[in-house]
Amino acid sequence: MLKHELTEQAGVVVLRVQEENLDALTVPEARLLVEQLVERGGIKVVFEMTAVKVIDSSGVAIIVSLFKRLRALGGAVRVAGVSGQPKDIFAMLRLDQALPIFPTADEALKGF
Amino acid sequence: MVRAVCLRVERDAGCAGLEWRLMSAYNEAFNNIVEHAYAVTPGEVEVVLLVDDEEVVLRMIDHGAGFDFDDAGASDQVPALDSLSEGGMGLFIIRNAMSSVTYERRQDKNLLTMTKTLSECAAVSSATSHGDPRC
Repeated sequence: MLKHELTEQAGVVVLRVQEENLDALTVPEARLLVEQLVERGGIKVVFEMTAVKVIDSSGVAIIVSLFKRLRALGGAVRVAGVSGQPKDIFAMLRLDQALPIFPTADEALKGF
Repeated sequence: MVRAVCLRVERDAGCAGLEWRLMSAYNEAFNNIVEHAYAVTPGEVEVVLLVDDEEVVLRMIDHGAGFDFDDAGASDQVPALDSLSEGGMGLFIIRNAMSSVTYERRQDKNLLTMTKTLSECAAVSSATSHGDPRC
């Protein structure tokens, strides 16, 4: 199972991915997690990925999928803790302009 | 092991950001081979890394099914958020991580050759190697 931590703070779900790689090997399990979150409807989620050192297109796709599906249900996603290679990939895909990205989960939670 | 090699190449070439570019291109190309070339029958992947003073060439060779590289969603345009698809995104990452990408079908082999020109890179500094869009 994908190593992760799921908590709730002030009505916001915080999903902390605790894997170094969010890639083709770990995404199938992440996809199950995303399905479970989407089934809850228009919730707010902070996707915290400080532990993630390497991301590929399948990892990016799962974050974008969560963002788009929850937005369609009236929910929202904020991404936190993006650094290193994932930050470079986000910049390349201009996701740093399309997604709400925060340095830390605490900052993402403020005013969410 | 591949990451360790890429890190060493970045250090030896003095090219900031080379490691994450090589690793990203390698990961995406490997995923494509597993998901498409070897979708039916598993096989071997040969990885060749050639380094000289001017460029780094990453070549990946497989014996699986061929594909139409030009028709595989390999756009140079940044995909819009609402149209992001995993397949097209992978090729986009490869093309933008590297200076040039060529695909050949030779006999029963697929050869994907990804080249990074070192003159495009910023020199490695004491600062982090991430975040330099030029390399």
